[in-house]
Amino acid sequence: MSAAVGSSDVVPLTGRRSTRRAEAAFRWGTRLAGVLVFVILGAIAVFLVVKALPAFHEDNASFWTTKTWNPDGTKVFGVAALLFGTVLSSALALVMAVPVALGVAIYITQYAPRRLSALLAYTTDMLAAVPSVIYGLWGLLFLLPHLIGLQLFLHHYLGWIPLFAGDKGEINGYSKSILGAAVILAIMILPIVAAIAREVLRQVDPAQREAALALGATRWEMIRTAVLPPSRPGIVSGIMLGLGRALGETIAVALVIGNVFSTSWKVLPPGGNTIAANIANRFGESGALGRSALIASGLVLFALTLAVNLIARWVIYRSGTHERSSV
Amino acid sequence: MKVSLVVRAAGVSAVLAVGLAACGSDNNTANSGSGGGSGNSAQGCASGSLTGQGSTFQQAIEQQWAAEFAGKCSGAQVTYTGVGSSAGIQQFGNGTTDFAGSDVTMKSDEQAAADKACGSKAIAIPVTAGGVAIIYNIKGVSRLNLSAKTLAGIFTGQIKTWNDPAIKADNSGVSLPSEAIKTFHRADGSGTTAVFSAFLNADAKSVWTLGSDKQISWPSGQGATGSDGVTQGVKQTEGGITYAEVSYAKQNNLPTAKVKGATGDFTEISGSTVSQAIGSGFSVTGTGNDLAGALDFTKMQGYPISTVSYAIACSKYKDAAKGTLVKDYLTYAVTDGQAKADALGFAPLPSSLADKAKTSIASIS
Repeated sequence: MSAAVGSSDVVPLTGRRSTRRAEAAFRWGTRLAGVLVFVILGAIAVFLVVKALPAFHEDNASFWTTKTWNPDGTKVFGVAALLFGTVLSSALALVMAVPVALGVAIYITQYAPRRLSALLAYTTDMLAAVPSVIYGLWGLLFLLPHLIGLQLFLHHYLGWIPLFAGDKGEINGYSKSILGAAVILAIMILPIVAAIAREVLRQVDPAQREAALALGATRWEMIRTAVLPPSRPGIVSGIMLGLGRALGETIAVALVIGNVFSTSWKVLPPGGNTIAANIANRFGESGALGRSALIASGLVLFALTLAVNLIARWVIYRSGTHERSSV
Repeated sequence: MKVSLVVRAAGVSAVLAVGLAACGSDNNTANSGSGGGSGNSAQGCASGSLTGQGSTFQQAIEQQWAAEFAGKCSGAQVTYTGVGSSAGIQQFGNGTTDFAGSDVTMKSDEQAAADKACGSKAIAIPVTAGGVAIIYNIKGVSRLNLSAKTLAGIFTGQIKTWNDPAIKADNSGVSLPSEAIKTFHRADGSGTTAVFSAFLNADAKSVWTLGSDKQISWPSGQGATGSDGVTQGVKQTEGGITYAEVSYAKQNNLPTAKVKGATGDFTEISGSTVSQAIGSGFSVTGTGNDLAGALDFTKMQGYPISTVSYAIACSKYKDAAKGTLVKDYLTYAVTDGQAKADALGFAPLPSSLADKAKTSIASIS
């Protein structure tokens, strides 16, 4: 094959005419698939905007600053509490998941013996294969009751941070809260971030690593100077993909979050809500305007995840080494 | 939502199973019994199959009625699916179900769609009643009185501990712990939430500011899906409290609070106290044979968080045989069927209302 590629006059290996036709059909097929992605994304955007318009028109309050959600009754509704909870729970999830994911990826690619490394890689990938409703049920029935100790610990020692403040009586007990949602989300995005970081770290030129070691660097120095810098865009892009997943996660969050309409920074007491969870909970019993309002909140989520992905692309592009990234 | 879909699917198959089992068994007994048996009352016994959809609240008693009606009338099969009141009314308006079960009356646009699908006026008929129980879990406390205002304070997050002066005032002589109150509410839209919030809106207007609807923008507490979800939450949380059908309290061995509304005293939820509340607080607002009505919670004697649930049917069916079957089934529901209410956690209609319902149903053709 390599010889044929090198020559200017490409000669099909098998029967001429049929091959040429298949060649064209295949090219058009792939082109169609490429265009289809745009069509689907565009269709979703148009659908969301069209269905959301009545909600924006008929809202009796500011859509962006109102915390309550009563589109079918008083027509007072807004996305403030939902957006707040969505961003806060996802951000907390990132804070928890990223260090562990990077640790896993670095250990697998730099430290672990080959056998263990393959096993670990396989196991982290398996985490991604668990259905989200399973995470939700596990969180609801197992994790939340076992988080009470952590809640009390955080409140006792770090209660001076507004995030961990609150009434002790409320914190001492089963608590469907932002913290619970964030822990579940962290576990769910961990394999995504870890898998991408692992692949990116593997791409690093071995010559660079050996050069660093040859200059007398310790392992840790070698990783810091020769492995992490060229991998940064890929890792950032993996983190952003994880963030996108966390922002949009629906059923697992709906099961473990408080479904409450407030913009409280306290993550320990019962409370919290997200856009996706609210849609899942309320769509079934919503009237016409109620549905439109939920779709409007979906449009906000769509724009948010799109923005996150664009920022990720921009970060990769700006660093100028995007061709190195495997993503 | 996936969870509730599974639950619904299980519900559907349960209805089918009950219906089929009843069909199978009555073939043996019907030959000997149906000839003379069907004539023992004014109850007609048409054959054919009937589908109903709607209120999940009604589902348990509709299943029971369907099974017994099939036992009584060989060749009659009724299948009821709990899809939610709004969805049931919508299906009825599309003409895809023969009758709908609903916890609320139809809005004007829903009424118009239903009338169009029927080709005649669609009417609402109360078929059963039920109360919303206040279920709690406090260590060492098995009797609890709560007034409407106290309940409103608890569920808006203003009353935070069980030994709050307001709760103490409702329960003189009972020692209450200083434990935090953990409220559980429905995260999904629900008729139970609608009744509970309407009660607080009427009887505790000065404290309750969250309006009344199937979905409330709760400022505090924790949300869970379904009556089973909130009851489970309370069960595993000391200091927990929620509102749900009384059957969930019984299933989970949890106590229910005595409630006091605008009139009357602290009252335990039961079939008779709910019937009493409907007798004093429900008035028909529909015209002719339409028995759609309104609840005045402030006038309810007995257990004050009570409501009626309707069957929605056509006054005249395009298919006469279907009309007769609907008439016979609903007649059974509001007469002999009422005896089953208590055991299933429902309440029988007060007799005056049951009589009105019977008259209205008799006009269906």
